[in-house]
Amino acid sequence: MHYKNIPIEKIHENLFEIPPFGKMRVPGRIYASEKMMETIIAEDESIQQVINVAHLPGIQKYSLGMPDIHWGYGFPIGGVAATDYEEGVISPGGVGYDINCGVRLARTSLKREEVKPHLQELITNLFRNIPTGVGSEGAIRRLNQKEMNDLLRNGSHWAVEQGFGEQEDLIYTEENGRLEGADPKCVSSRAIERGSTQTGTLGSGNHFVEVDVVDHIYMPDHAETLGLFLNQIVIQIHTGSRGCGYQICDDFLKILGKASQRYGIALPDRQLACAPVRSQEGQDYLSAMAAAANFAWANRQVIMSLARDTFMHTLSVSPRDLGFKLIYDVCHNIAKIETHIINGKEKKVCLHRKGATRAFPPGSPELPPAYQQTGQPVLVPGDMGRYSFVCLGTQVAMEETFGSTCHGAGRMQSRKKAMDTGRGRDLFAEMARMGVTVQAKGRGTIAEEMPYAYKDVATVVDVMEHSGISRKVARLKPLGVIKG
Amino acid sequence: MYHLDRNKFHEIEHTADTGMQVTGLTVEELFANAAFSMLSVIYTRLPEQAQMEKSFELDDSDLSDLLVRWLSEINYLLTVHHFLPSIIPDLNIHQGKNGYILKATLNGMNSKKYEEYFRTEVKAVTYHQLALSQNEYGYHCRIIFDI
Repeated sequence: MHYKNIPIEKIHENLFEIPPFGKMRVPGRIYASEKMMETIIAEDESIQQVINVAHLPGIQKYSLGMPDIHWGYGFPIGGVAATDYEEGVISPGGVGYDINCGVRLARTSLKREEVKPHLQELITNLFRNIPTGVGSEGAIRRLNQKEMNDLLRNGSHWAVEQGFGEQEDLIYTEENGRLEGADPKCVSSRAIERGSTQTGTLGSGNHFVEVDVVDHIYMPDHAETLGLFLNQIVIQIHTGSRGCGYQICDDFLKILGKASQRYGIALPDRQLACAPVRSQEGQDYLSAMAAAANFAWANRQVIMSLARDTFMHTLSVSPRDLGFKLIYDVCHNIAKIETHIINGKEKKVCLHRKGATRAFPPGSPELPPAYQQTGQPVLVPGDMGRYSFVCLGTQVAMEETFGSTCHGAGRMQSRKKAMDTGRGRDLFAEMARMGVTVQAKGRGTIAEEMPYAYKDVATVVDVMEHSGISRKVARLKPLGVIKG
Repeated sequence: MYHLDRNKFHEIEHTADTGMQVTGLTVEELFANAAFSMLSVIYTRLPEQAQMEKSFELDDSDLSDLLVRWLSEINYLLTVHHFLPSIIPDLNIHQGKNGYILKATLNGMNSKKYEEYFRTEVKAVTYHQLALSQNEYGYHCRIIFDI
């Protein structure tokens, strides 16, 4: 197998390696089936981006690509890279514009047959109660500077203090819903302004709130620990840091672009703009990125609270009968300072996960006590027609991928092609025939997000399962979805 | 004065987001057409009224970086101030000692029903595959919007 005459070695059925050449500091490794690799090679430049990332100063072990890899900015989406905290760099391109775009999964005590008669009304009410779409403003009035500073420092904690959700939710959120080190002073006034009216908004594009039913259990014991059972109604919420995060990324791409030149860092792609992690610019980005991450957690916490209230009022059930509980919340776009074993020694690294999910194994101190035996829940949403998966992290992930796995289906068609494919078709009716009730701001969003535009997420999670990186616990089938 | 002219830009394939190839006889026309290409992604329809005016000035040492800043500024006015531009009556870009200076006036409207005009959110104007060039036929650029 070759990519632009560059040989690609097959390590095993689901792992391919690009040996270092030129100025690559480490090999590139992509987790994918052979068929996926042929598609990846043919369709976009994501392999080139894996190669480019391998040029970053201080990069450790490998430049990684997950099986949902596709073209991004600088890093591919589905890219993972760890750089030496002392001597390596941090790059906003390794996080993405939507800082802490992520997903959370909440369970209920309800079964499919209890909700089905009310599904249309439930989806309609979710759509009404959760601000969606472009320019939508939040369930929370415009926040002033002090309130924004509080939110940016405290993330989910801030939201719970405002009455959105329970203290217990924090334990079941990555980083307990608050990344330490957030500094609002590193956040531009424009980013603050963009975020001040968007707390509790879904956004648009591939963001969604989805009502699912658990339709398959792979590991009954671990499913029980997570509180999952067959035929159960659960809710997924997928959104991120909104305009606040986008602006922070934009601001720091400019700052770090200049810093790259000042520090004499030669880059194959300007969107890999970076600075030494320990430099002032690097530390400022970490602080601002943490602030954006906290915004995203607050955002998801508020939206989950709105969703819970909508369930109670639509179905006329008490909180106790609803049994609404957060299973877990994961980031897909983040850079974190973590410690990993490299060449037999503990090493502090700056771990970039862009379109990738943390997948820590059983026994990890970062996990809540309830999940010490299971490992970290990994939420992998698919497209809105087929299915999503709940998986668990493993020790193999820690050894091979810095405790990381895939994050979703990955697009197969460009938005333009998806719109063209959908022309003249009754897409809402097609989704209804698939058993999914959809409410969206516009037909255009639905056309871009139709199942045919995405890879089959089952093939993605199967690659990680067969590689031992993450293990399937349950499959979720969509019943209803709201999109912006 | 610059108006929307769909012959001056076309969408290009990109897996996850939206890209535009844009032309213009002059650099001002290129920038104006790039703005309209972005608005064509964002809007469901062009706003009917243009009674409000917004003017601003930007500068940058690099012309393609200035293009990104220009589009980002328009996106900011849209998403934060709900100012919906539809005409660019005035746009001037000149090269000074330290780089390029852009001065612009946009006409558009504010509407409480601004959400009706929005089809897609542009999260960011990116530097990904950013290209700006000039030949004997005029100016050309490629720009990718994070959707």
